[in-house]
Amino acid sequence: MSTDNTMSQAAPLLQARDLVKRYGRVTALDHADFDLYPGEILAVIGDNGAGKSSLIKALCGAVIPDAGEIRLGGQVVRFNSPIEAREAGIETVYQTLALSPALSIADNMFLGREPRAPGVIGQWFRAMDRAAMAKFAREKLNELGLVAGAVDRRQYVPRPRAAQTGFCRAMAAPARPLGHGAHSPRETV
Amino acid sequence: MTDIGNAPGVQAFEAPLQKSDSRVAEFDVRAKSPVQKLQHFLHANPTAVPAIVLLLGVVVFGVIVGSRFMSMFNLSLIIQQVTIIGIVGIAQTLIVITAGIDLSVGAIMVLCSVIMGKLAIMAGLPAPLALVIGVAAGAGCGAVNGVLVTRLKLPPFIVTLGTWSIFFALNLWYSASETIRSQDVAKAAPLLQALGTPVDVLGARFTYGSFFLLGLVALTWYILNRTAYGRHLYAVGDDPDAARLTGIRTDRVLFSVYIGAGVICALGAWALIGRIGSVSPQAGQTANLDSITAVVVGGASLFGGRGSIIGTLIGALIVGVFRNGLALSGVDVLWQEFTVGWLIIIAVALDQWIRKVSA
Repeated sequence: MSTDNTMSQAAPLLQARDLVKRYGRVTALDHADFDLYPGEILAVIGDNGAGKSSLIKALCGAVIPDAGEIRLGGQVVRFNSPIEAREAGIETVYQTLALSPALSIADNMFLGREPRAPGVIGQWFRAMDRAAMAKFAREKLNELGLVAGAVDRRQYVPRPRAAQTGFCRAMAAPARPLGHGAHSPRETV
Repeated sequence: MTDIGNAPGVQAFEAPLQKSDSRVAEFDVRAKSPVQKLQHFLHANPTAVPAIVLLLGVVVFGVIVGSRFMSMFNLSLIIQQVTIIGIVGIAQTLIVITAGIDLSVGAIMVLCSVIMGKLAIMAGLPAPLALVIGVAAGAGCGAVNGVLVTRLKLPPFIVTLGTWSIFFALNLWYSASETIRSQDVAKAAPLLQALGTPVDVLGARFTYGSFFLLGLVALTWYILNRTAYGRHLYAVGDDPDAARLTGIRTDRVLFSVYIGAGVICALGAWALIGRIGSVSPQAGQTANLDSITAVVVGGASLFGGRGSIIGTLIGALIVGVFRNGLALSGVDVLWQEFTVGWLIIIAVALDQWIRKVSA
């Protein structure tokens, strides 16, 4: 893990100290430290089984570390679920993509945080704002240089495309300033 | 990653990119052969097959049996006959979408009908109150299933196999195996028979129960397709781990779906009393498995994530049309069972093939 020198002056946006995660007799994370600075793009590289995924999953709430602490913008945080990390602004694109082929691209992008339609139909009848979801999905895919025929219909999505859908899901998060006005950390596991 | 849309000036290391293929990538898959095209079409439209089979069934029996089958009266009779299975099938569909199965739906329905009947006629409670308590009992039964599935992590098949016997035994105990006669129900609590009220339209005879079924279909369709909760049901059934990673509280979704199924079964109990008039602890014995038949023939996948309410309604109608048509053709009842059996196997085989869809 290397850090850009120009950035090491600022306080880390996301920091972990002494993270430990054990699965039975296997120690996946052995007192791992982690620093992510504002504006930094950090790659975590290692062999199979080195603990890359465990580290990222600990940071994004998908696994709960047995020991150690995580600081987000200087504050100690403890995520019990991915949604808590997400609410704090940490978005994750999982290696398995965590997508549901039964759902449309737009549904997948907003899974777990679907916007409600405006007015009575959304408030009382809990309808999703499907038009806004489709529009947003299309725009985000276009930003990645992709076009999709139907983002609001169920269809078979080939795996590379599914990966891009996963990225778009992370991008769908409202980017909120953390620390020194930086965007939320977004990670790929 | 956030700046992809408004990229800054091209840097030196990006120069080779300028020569790369700049055609936009497309999501849409070009199917190679007609068979693959069909596979994709069926994958994207799960109700297409059941709809075609239903249409074929009606046409074939219309030709073979003639006007006795094709009359408005007979066709509307089929709708009456599938009302109960349709309602219980809705409950079953919700469970099957989450990759579960509920063998106890029929038992819940009968138990609830007995509770409604006993309270309103024997205990003399006001009929609306008896109805509400019956529905609450259905929710309670569903909650038992839900707790066992989500807390004890038992497979839904085993849980509901057990509760099927438990609920049915409770039903025999509470009813003392006695039937409440139709006349007594009509005298003490006509509300319980309300869904059996016939409505004649242009020679067709419907009951309030038929419209009640359609209302439930519309409501559950809306929930599945237009609300976030409905999308979460599919996501949980498709891949529970993926659903959990996106932040869906999968246990809460599963627990609630079993309660919802219990409530729908209790509403089915109300329609059951309307249909048969009396309150019998022996009624609706076949509803457990018939509901699964309707769901499977309706194009839902027992592996979860795929299935629709409209499909189940069509599935129930297919079984109704085949049974009615074969009966009118003068074929022995055993051949009706024989045909329904093949319908199930063909439906599941077709689902397996559709699931293998690939580019």
